[in-house]
This record gives sequence, structure tokens and C-alpha cells, in this order.
Amino acid sequence: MMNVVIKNLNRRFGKTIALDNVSFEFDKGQIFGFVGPNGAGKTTTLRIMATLDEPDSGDIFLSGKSLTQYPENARERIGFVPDNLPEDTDISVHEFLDFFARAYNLKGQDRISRIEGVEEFTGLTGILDKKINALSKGMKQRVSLARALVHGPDVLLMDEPAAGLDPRARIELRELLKVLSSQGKAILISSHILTELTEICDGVVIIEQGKILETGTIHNVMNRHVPKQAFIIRSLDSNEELRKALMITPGISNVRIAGDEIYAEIEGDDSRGASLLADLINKGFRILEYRRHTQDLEDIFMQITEGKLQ
Amino acid sequence: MKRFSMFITRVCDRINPIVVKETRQAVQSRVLIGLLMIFLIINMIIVAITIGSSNILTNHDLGRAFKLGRNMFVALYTALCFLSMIFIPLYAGNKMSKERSGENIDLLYITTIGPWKIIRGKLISSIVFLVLLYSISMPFMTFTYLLRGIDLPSMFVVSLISFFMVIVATQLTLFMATVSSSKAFSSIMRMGTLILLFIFFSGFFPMYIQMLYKGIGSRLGTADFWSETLVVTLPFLFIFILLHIGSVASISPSASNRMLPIRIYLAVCWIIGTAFAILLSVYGSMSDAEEIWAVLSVLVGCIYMLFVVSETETFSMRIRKTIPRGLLGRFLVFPFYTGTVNGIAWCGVYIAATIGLNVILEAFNVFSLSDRELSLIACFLLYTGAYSLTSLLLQRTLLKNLVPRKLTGLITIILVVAGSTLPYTLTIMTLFTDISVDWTWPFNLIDLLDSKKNADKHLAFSAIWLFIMVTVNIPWFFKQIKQFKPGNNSTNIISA
Repeated sequence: MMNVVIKNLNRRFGKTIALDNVSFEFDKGQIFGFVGPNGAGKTTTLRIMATLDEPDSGDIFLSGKSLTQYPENARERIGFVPDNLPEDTDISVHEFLDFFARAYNLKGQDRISRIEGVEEFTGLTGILDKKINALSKGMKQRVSLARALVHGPDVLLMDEPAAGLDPRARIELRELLKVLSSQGKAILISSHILTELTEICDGVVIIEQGKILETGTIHNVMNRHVPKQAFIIRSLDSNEELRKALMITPGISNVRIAGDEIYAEIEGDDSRGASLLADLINKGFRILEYRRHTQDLEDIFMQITEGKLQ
Repeated sequence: MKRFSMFITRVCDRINPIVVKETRQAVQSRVLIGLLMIFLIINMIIVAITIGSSNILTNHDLGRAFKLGRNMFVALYTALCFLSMIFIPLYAGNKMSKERSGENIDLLYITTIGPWKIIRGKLISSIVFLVLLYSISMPFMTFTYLLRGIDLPSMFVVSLISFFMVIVATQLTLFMATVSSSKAFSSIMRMGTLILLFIFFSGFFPMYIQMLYKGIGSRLGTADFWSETLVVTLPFLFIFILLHIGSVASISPSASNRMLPIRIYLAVCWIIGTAFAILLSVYGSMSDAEEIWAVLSVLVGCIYMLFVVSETETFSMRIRKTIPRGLLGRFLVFPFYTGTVNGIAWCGVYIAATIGLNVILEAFNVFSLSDRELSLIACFLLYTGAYSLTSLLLQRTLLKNLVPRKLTGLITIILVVAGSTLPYTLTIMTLFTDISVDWTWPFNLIDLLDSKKNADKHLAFSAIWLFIMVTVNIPWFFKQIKQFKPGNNSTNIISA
């Protein structure tokens, strides 16, 4: 089974510590989000994983095999989508993909069928003769993804793939990633657009100043960082009175008015939430809306990181 | 038919991917197609003007008609030479430089294509374009033979030589383009490349024309012609291969032992060159063989020293895993590994071998270099060593935060220029005063070449200076040598 283990990676650039004992892992069929502020060490980690850089110490293992010691083998198993888009001139989409297929040493009919496969999968069949530099950002991103997939890698590394894309292109990219994950590829995506990641990722790695702050499946991370339940309440009565009532109720904390709604955190399980609603109605409050507030990756990211820059 | 198509597919699969891509880009590039069309028109205009200005159609001047073919060939050849010697190397170099300073080069490095294949592909695709350029000129050149005044062997030999010269020039520009990935440095290198190409063109072109006017056909069967050709060709072949290996080393991952091929190549060339020089001195008729060998050895040693001091001082995990575990093995391979101290060790062995062999061969009367020639060789090598170690010391101490290690070679060049020109600068500055400046300033490499009487002083000074620099750097050398030990391979495989 394909798994990717990043073990104690360290990397310095002069006096700057880019990576400080970075360790995490993810498996076949999983999509992991790699998040952190600018300069946190995301791109350095991805570049080391793509064999473009070497760590000062530590290693990466693809199904148990060292990447730093056998970078040539690793290249066949890794597809890398960097944050910059292809800008080649005087070359068509098909010729561009054909070049990379040749560069990965694919030959004859195998090369032709692989190229046709990725062209169809990424929806490039209608623009095969168009020049690369004449494409839109969204299309270039598709070409970049097709290029990274042309040799059939087991691991896909993507550095800010959704940056600069319009909403439609983002949704399409998300769908493509879901399909790739279902095909058994291990995917690591570095992104700033955390709402995007919440919807498609199985797990998350949060990094700041070269140190891993949190890693695990989204569910586990949420559970670790969201121990209390939060509710949003909207009433026809005065919000101030409702807030006062909530504040004197035992087990309720962090009560605040947010616009025409009230936010409150409750200790305990779902039944405690239901009994609070009953209490409020019994006290005569005319409740219009009562819903659970689900925290997303963005909230957790803000909680964990301190926004320190290197 | 199916077999034939399978054969074609197999052949296509074997073509270097870079060649396929670059050729596709070239044939779709409006600039290149436009250039080929313009060149075609230029050829037609040359033919028309040469025939028109000869007046043979109206005056029947047979004397001029006899030279018409040669004159037309020279005109066509000038156009071809200018375009191929300037444009093709510049185009290849610029493209490589842009790719290298851009971020898309990473995409190439993460494929399974190696640095050797990349450089070979770049060179071959330039050759393809060169063939296209030649194929435009060839019909017109063949036509000149029909007009008389020129023989086929001359046309063929001259065209062939310039064809190979363009390949050497292209390799030179590729090397210049690969040396640095910084945009600012690339621009400086591009300017330097352009100047070098013009020097290259203006140096060789008159030689070809002279060859054409003298005629080559009658000399093809003589031993002199081939020995002269060999003497001219071998240094160019040496430089071409060196530049090729150098380009590969420049684009190889910094974590790899990228200096190994260069050091092996230089060592092998030095051994072969020494053997040839000895053979020619003892048995041959070439009395200058030892001088040529000595000058080339010194030049290579001095230039290589500039690169050596710019190397990294840390050994990557990838390099460490290839270091032998045994002490003797480690000692033997030490000079062949990437690293400043390793490079200095290699240069030390090279300098010692060059000077030592000269002294020994002099003692046995194999070589007959004069004392001045010997002291010049020693002085140049010692001075370069001293200047290089001084710049290394400066970079490690005073300029550590200002200049990166990879620019230490540049500090050396600045020091050499400053050291050699200081007395002249001072002389200019003191022209209007009564202060006199001694031109035999010890750091002066120009004085070393000019002055005969000061050779011993220079030898003594350079040796003492180098000794001091080696002594001052010794603690750092030992620190680096201690670092040269094999990595731990035990974490090779972990359980999945």
C-alpha cells in the first residue's frame, strides 16, 4: 500500500530555519491539506518532496523507500504541480504534454494512450492545438495538472493550485481531485483557500515557522480543537435580554452578539443543546432560529497559528 | 508497412525529448521562420549582385569570370558565417538562460530526464537549426562551383570547419547560460557572450577567407595539412568537451557530486597531454610541444582555481552516502568530490604535478624549457593559488554576509585586477607629483610577464604569500576534512 512518510525534515537557508523537524504522513486515496502562513515552509517541504531540493537532515519515504537516497525512483512516482503556470511559447497543449511524456521515458503506444487519457480526464480535448501561452489561467492549471499526471504517479503534490482561479475553475479542480483520490492517489495540497480544503480534504497539516503545529484527519483535528459545541440563536425579542439570560445559565460560555444573532458555546453533548432550546422557550423567548455552528478549517487555522512570519 | 511504421515509432522514441520540443518550437516560431526567409532572400540578392557587378554578360571579361565563383562563394559564405556564428549560439544561449532564470525549469528537473540529456538535447536542436541554415545556402554555394574559380574540397573543408566552430560557439553560449540562474548575472553573461562571439567570428573569419584564396584541394594529401589541422582541432575539441561537461555540472542538482566529471576529465586530459608533449619532444619534430603543454596546463589550472573556491562547503546526504568508509579510499577520492577544500586539494595535486614534472623532465633533459619559462609557470600557479586562498579567506571572514560563496571566484578576479593594476593606477594618480612608484609591485601579474629580472622576486613572493594563506586557512581546512565522512545508510528502508 502506498504511503508517504515525512520524517524529521530539517532545512536551513543561511540563518533562517525553513523546516524544523517536520514530520507527518498520509496514505493512498487520501487528500491532505497543507496549510500555513506565507513563509511557513510549505513550498520548501513540497520542493523537497518533489526532489527539487534536499533536506539538511531527515528523509521522506514512499512506501518505505527513501526519497533522498533514490530521487530518480521517486520522480517516477511523484507528480508535482508548482504554484507557477506553464508559460512556454510556440508550443501547443498536445505537444507540451507529449514532451513531458517523452521526458518521463514513456514510449510508443503507451505514451500515446497515456497522453490521450490525461487530455480527456482534464478536459483538454477541445484545446489541444492551442498555444500554451495563449490559454487562460484555468486552462493552464488544467494543463499543469495533466502534465503532472501524464506518467501515472502514485503521489500528487500541488502548490497553491486554486490561486487565481475563478469559482467555476475551482469547482472543476475540486471535482478532478476527488476523482483522483478515488483512483487511489495520495494527494497533498498546499493552499491558502481553507474553505476549499475543508470540502475535499481527508486530513490537514498545519505548519508555521517551519514547525508542524497540527496534523491528522480533519475529524480528529476538529475534535481536538473544538471541544465545546457552539450554537447560533436568533430571536424576535431583544438580543441584549437573551444574551443576559444565556450568561446566567450554567454551562454556557463565550456568549456574544453577532449582528442580529447570538453566538454561544455549550459544554456537554447534543442533549444539552436540545435542553437549552427548551429552557429558552420556557422562559418566554420567541426563538426564530436555533442552529449548531460548525467550525471550519479557517477557524481552527486561526486558533492554532499566531501569524508569525519568517 | 506496419513493420515500417513500428520502426519509425521506435526511432522517434529514441530521439532526445528536448530535440523534439525545441525543433517543434523552432518551426512554429515566427522569428525563426522569418529569419530563414530573410536569409534565403539575402542569398538570392548576393547571387544577383555578384553576377550583375561582374559585367561578364556584357563585356565577356574572362579574367573576372574566372574569379566569379570564388567571389560569390566568399560573399555567400560571409553571410552564412555571420548568421550562424552569431545568431545560432546567441539564440541557444538566450533560450537556455531564460529557461534557467525562470521557474519552469523545475518542471524539467522533476522528470526522469538527466542533466546530460538536457545539455545534449539543447546542443543537438541548435545543430538541427544550423543544418537548416546551411541547407538554404548549399544550393547557392554549389552554383558557385559551376562558375569556376573555386574547388569543391576548399568549399567542403571551409564549410565543415565553420560548421564545427559554430557548434563550439553554441556550446560556449550554453555554458555561459548555465553558469548562473540569477537574472542580473545572466544579463551580464549575455553581454559577455555577445562580445566573445564577435571576437570568435572576427578571429576565424579572415582565416577561412585566407584558406579559400590559397586553395585547400592541393594540400589535402599532405601530412603537413593534417598535422596542422590536428594541432588546431585538438585544443578546440578539449575546450568543447570541457564546456559540455561544465554545462552539465552547472545544471546538475547541487546535492550531487557534480564536479566529479570535470575533475576526471581534466586529470585524464592532463595525463594524455603530458604523454603527447613528452613523445613529441623526444621523437617528434615539434619543438614547441612542451611550451604548448606548459601554457595550457597553467591556464587550465589557473582558471579552474576560480571555480574551485566558489564551491559549496557542505556535503549533502546524497554525496555522503557515496563517500567510502575506509580511510585510504576516502583519502584517494577526496580531491574528486564537490567541495571547496576538495577542489583546493585537487588543484594542489595538479599544481604540484605540473611544476614537479617540469623540474624532473628538465633534469632528465626531456624538456628544454628555459629557467624563465619554468619560473613563469611556477609563479602563475603560485600567484593564482595565493589570490584564490586570499579571496576565500575574505569571503569566509569579512564578506561572509555580503558575498555568497558561489561568487568567491569573482572576488579572486577583482583582487587579481586590483593587484596587477594598482602600480599603474598609482602612477597615473601621481603624474603631477614628484612621488615615483615602483612598477615591480609584487602582486603584479602584468609585471611578471614583462619583467625578466624580477622573476625570482615574484617566485619568492608568491611562494611565501601562498604559504601564509595556506597556514592561515589550515584550521578551516581541517574542519572541512573532518566533515568528509560517509552518511548513515541504515534508515534506507522503513516499514511501510
